[in-house]
Amino acid sequence: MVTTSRLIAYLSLAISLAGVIPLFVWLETFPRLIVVLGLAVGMLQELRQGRWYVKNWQLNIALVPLFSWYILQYSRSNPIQPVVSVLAIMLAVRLCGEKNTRNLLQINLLALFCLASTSLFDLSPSFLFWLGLLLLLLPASLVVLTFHAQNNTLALQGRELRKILMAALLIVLVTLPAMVVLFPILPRTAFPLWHFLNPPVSGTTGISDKVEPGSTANAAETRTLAFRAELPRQTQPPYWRATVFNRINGNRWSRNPGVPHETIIHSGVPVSQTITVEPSASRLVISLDTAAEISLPRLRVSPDAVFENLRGFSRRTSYTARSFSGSIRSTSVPIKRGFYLTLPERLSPGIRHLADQISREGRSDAERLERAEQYFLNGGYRYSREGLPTGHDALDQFLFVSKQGHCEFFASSLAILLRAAGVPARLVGGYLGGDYNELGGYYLVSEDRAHVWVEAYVEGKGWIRTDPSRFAVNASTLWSDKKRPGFGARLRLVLDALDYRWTRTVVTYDFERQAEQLRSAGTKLQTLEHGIRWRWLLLSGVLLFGLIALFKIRRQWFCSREERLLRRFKRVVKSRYVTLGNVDNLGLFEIAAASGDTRVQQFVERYAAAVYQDKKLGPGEIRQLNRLLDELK
Amino acid sequence: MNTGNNLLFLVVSALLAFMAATGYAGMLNIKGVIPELLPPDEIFAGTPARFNLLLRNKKRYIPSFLIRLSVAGNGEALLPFVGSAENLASTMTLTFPERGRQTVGRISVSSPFPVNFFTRYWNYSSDTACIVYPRPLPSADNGAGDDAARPGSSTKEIRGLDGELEGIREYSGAEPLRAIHWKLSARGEELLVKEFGSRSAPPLIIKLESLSGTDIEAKLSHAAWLIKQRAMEQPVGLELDGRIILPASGRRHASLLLTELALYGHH
Repeated sequence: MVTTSRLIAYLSLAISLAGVIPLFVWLETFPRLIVVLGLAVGMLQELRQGRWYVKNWQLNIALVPLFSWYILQYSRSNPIQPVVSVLAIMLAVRLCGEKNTRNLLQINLLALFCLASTSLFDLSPSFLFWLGLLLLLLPASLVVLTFHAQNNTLALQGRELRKILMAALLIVLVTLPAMVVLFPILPRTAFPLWHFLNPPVSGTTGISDKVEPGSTANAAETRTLAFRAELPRQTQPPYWRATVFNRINGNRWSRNPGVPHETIIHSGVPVSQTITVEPSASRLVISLDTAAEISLPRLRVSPDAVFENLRGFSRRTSYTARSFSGSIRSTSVPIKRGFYLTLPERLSPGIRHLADQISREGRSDAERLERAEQYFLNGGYRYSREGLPTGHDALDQFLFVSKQGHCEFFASSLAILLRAAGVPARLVGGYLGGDYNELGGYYLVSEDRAHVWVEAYVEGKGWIRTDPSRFAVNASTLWSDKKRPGFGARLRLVLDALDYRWTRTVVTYDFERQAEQLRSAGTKLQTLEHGIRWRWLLLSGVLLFGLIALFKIRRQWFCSREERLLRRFKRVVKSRYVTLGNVDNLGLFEIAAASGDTRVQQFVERYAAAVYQDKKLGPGEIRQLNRLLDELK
Repeated sequence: MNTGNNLLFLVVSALLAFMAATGYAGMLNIKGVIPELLPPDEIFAGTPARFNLLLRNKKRYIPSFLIRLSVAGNGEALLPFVGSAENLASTMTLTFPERGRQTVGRISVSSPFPVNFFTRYWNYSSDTACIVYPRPLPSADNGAGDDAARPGSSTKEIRGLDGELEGIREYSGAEPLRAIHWKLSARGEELLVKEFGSRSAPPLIIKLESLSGTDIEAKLSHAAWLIKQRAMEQPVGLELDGRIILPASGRRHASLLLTELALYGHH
């Protein structure tokens, strides 16, 4: 036995916790204190059986200066904190006050608002957990509150309570699928209405705008996520292209935006992919090398297949790209060779000597490229992120002394060698490989996968991708993803797959995807072959008819034997004694008396003897009664 | 690009879905709940009468919650829980202001379940007819008949079979056999019978015209009070517009008389 007032008090405490816990970490100190105080007072009141109220008017008066203060705090640059602080404080205050029906409703609503405001700070899938918890608790609370509002001294028996909670649970079970249906079709606008409320992302990760080997002795390695790319598993670790560095100054490679015009002819297999990038300060659009088209609304495309998103990636964004995975890209017109042959003002004698040698040995671009690659392959170079050569002659040291470095050393020195040998070359910045998540069907690429490789122009063929880092003696251990991940890693991949699904289906869902889904549904209907359409219509017609028929006869099939028998009896009497009129309005004994038929009376007596005493008819009795009806027919 | 915040959209769609689900649950809750009102034996105008209420939940698996039954401006009953396929008996107090043949009228089945935002209702027109007797008003009259007398004051000239044993006399052949005093008769040669007095008071004939009261309704009310008071004790008759209903006693007869009063002038 439990009174409704106690039950809803407990439920509203649980709801407040579910609403305020996810918000708590984002609150400032003062609202945090108030929230803790409010929860403590609320719990204490429950321990004291709901006594010791602070009067409502006292609380409301106490709120006035707080509200005024937060209104003054509100500004264009600080729009969120005052709002969420007021929400949290109001919730805490309501918890201290009297728990009447109105206040309890307010507690429920404020807790929901608190959770909703969490999404202004954080878009992680844990939101779904808290929302699910609230969706479970809120209906239970509202239903019990309805009982409480009708009779505030109501005490519920265990059985009744179970039924009521079951009803609330059923409502939740109906709510969830309806929510899933409603979410994608709720109208969105093309322009983000509430964008200004979102805090700016202070991300600094992303592709750097320069490559400068020799600037540090140790390269930092971060495992932060850069992006995820949904596409079938590739046989080779995929190259993700982001930018091209075409200008060298000293040891520093950077990008000259005035890229000379060239027209690329793609080759290889087209691969479609969906890329979801983490928020970053960079505008570069990453795609599988080399993308032919990318579905982003405001895009700047350079002739060297570098895409820039003019809107930036201030929030987690998804886009699709279509790439050609071939490592050679021919151009329809000859490129401007001079642009890709410029060398640093000061080139070390060692490099110049090596370049001359390559130039002499190879007569064409292709041969020279091959010689240069051979040099790296046979040179015994090691890939390393530590003990790197530094200073202005870092490349010289790397090539001829230490012979160890990371991709920037490999790529930078190869590109310079090629240019010095008369082969146009440029550096391509991006990522290499990634952890393939089988469950989610995507590559998980972290910042430490950032990579630089070389594109060399071979007359008659086009731009050829060559990655000198792969000629390192220890290359095979670096980029092979054949290692079997441990349990922890596998668990992380599963969790990441969930996180990815969450991002793809919820966080990045927008007006364009909505429109696209509508379009694709329309196209699918249009492109249905004529014959298939007829067959499809016929099939659905038959299915519909079957469902209607099933609905009609459900009473017949799903009722007890006694009911079936009674229905048959009424049918028989109706057809035999038309003068009786509507037998449904008559009692059984009235029918028997009105018909004057002994068989009808016999039926009624036997039937009534059993059914009116709440007994079930045995199979023998049913047979006998059916036989009587057969005779009557 | 992401329009606004999809998590807020998620909350909004959850709320919308919840509204839809509660709407459906509310509809399902009052669906198949059929009220039936059974009137009590006697209903007097202006006096609360307790009707028997039978609420049938025809849904096989789904119980109904917080069912409120009301009869337009009359009575109300709240049933917190009606189990699936359950017949729940309760009572409902209704008051009819006027005498005559009345019907209960519209019964409304409503419920604020599952959340107290909206109340759904469903109306049933009940053709349960009942005869409402005139409101009984105490009367100082004794019915105004000449032969009327207060009970207990009558002379004991009337013999009967249900009073005290008053004497023994010879069997005349007219007395019923059960009056024979077999024990005494066995001692002598003649059959002796017991003589009983009659408990019944003399009949009372109520003449409507001669009852006190300014209008006919007041007279009817006094007549109803007299019938209610006396009918179990003595034979009561009624004279209405020169038509006489012969005196008799008992509950059945009383309700016959009261029905006459209830429908007086309504024919």
